[in-house]
Amino acid sequence: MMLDRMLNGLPLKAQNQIYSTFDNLGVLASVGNLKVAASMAPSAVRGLVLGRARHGDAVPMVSGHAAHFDLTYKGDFPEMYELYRRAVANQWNGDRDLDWSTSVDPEDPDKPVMPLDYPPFEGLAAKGIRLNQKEKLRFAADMASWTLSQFMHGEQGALYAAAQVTESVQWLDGKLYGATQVMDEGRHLEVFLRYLDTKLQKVYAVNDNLFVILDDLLTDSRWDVKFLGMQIMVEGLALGAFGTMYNFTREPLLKQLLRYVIQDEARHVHYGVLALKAHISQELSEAERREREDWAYEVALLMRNRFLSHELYYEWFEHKLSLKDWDEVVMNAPSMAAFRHLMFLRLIPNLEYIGLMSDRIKAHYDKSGLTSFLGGKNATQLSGEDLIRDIAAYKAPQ
Amino acid sequence: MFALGRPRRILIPRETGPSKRWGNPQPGHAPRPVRVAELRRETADAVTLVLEPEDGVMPAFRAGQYFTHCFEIDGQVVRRAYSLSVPEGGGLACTIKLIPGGWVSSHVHEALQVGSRYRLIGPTGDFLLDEGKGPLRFLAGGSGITPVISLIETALERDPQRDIRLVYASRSEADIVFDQRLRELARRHLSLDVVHVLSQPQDAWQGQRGRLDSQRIRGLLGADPATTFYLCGPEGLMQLAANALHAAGVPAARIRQERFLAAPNAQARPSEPQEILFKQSGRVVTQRPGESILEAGLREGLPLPFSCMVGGCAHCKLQVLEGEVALSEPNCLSPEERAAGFTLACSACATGPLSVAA
Repeated sequence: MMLDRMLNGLPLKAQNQIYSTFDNLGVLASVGNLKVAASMAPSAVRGLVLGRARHGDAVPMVSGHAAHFDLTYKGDFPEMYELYRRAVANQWNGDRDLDWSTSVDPEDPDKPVMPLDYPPFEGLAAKGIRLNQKEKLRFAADMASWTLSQFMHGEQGALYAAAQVTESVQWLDGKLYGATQVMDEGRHLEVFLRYLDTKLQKVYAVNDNLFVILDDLLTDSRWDVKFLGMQIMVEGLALGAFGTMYNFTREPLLKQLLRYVIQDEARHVHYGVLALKAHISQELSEAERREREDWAYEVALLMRNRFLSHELYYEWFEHKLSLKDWDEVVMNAPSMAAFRHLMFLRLIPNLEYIGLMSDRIKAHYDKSGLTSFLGGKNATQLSGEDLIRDIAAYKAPQ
Repeated sequence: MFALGRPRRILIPRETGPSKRWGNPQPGHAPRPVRVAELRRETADAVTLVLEPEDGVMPAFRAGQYFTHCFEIDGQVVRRAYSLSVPEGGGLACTIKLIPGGWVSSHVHEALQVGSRYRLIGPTGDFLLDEGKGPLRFLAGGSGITPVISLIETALERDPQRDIRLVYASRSEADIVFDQRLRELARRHLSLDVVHVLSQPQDAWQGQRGRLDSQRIRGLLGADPATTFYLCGPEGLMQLAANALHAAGVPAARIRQERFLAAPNAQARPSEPQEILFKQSGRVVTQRPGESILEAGLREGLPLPFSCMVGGCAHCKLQVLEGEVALSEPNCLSPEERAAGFTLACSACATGPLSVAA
């Protein structure tokens, strides 16, 4: 309320600067657990305050994790070995197995990459912004490019995280499996880049909030936090986002591409769940377990609340609408509801399965309206095909 | 120091356009080795081949597409295009009907067994699912059901309530391919309506009987302009249906057809090498004895378009500027295309020095 009064009457640009600063501070303030806030602070400063992802050609991310070199080759983890075998057998080839000769016109109303029921046109209209049919098609095409660009940036982060985790995991079967995931993530990066480069021909910069999460994971020295962040949280986010796009898009090449990627992701989450269940139940003290539980909760909330396509706002509406109003429109869009549903549908049962869902933290999830997903199937009970079926069966609320 | 004062980077520039390394994509033509994992008899003269890729990598395909199967029969490689009869992501299987006196279909029915190995080219084909949400109407005749069942199952997997009607013409009850599978689908999906029309049914048959004519087709399929129509079956039936739908005002873009051509009679190919000038690139390629124009061009790395490789799709159509070719018949070239000097690179070979506009 006080912020509203402060912004009232100021020019739009000044309103946005003040809102943005308060909003960025709010990210950290919203993290209820001080220890978690402290661990995220350096990444938040690099991403949100210094804007390190907004200029230059590359960002160095330094991690203090140790490579765990196995000297005895003794420990067996049969389920993980089975996943490794399955991953080796199911490697696909992004060049050979996708029909890149498919002609894609992102503004074709018959085969839209992003159909017109995805962008929040109704919410925008309620704020007085009405786009004509041509503008709507162009905006939907830009939204597709923005979304797929973020997928691509996420895959780049996943590639490095998978490599780091492969170094530090203590099971040899985990290292074998990890090597296949590194290849998977490389292939995902390749196909998203190729799709953006050759079909949409528009690539957006990495979103600040996505950058913060990736930076936090890649620079954290604790392997299990890296693991929890990448294999459970970010992969859960990816499943929600890829699943939503898979459901909405009518463009056949993208649909097939996403289908392959989702099937790989199902394996990745399965691996994370196996490794973390064993680690959390056998290796961590209760205090350490509680800290991971809090961390997962805070990251879940950040993922739910922070992906608000600000790059599109600055490109399209900076002089017509306040950033605060834009955030409100995006948060209330039906496509965002679909994304949140599919993300938490998988995330919550996985957290429950690995032991990060005590009654204490359940009360917090309950307050955030997320406990309805408890008791669902976790990654060890779902194949890639199950995931695709569940995603296709979900209908976004109208 | 602080980012607020700096201009915000929104887009990542790709100044020189898409990376050149992605190249000019062509559908894959390297044959993939497969193994017959199961032979499933559907009717007295239709068999489903369930295939396993030898390299363990399931090829991606879209519902309604087909593979070109390369069988080795009596020491010769013979190619035939067969549609997939499984939904997307549902494995690799095609269903093949025995054609009386048919060389290849007899080989499939009599010589192939579990463990047999051969090669596939593809997938290819543009008889694809409409990705919208509108109603779908299918007309299938005989073995024309194979791509149709793949489309219907895929459509229902994506949207279990999609409004779909299948009109399926067969000779008798015993000739209905996928009878049980269709019943099960209709039982699980109330939005799917299957209408069988039999030309020679038993007396006890309760359903529709007799031959389909324009009026019946229009009555059974409707003519709603928001519906997408799929036709697959004998040429006469498809022509009849397409004309009926056009006459009822259905736009051509809403009518999708998949044609099956009779097996081509391979022409004798020259036993001497022949030179072919590809005018567009200025390259001269030597066609080896036994090669088609397409095979010679691809071997030399020319980016020639192609798809089915059995004369059925015209993707490889090119114009002869000078010289003579031997072309296997029948094929899908229209009389107008023939008159304009077109040939099919996959089914033709140069019989002397040749110049083509490709």
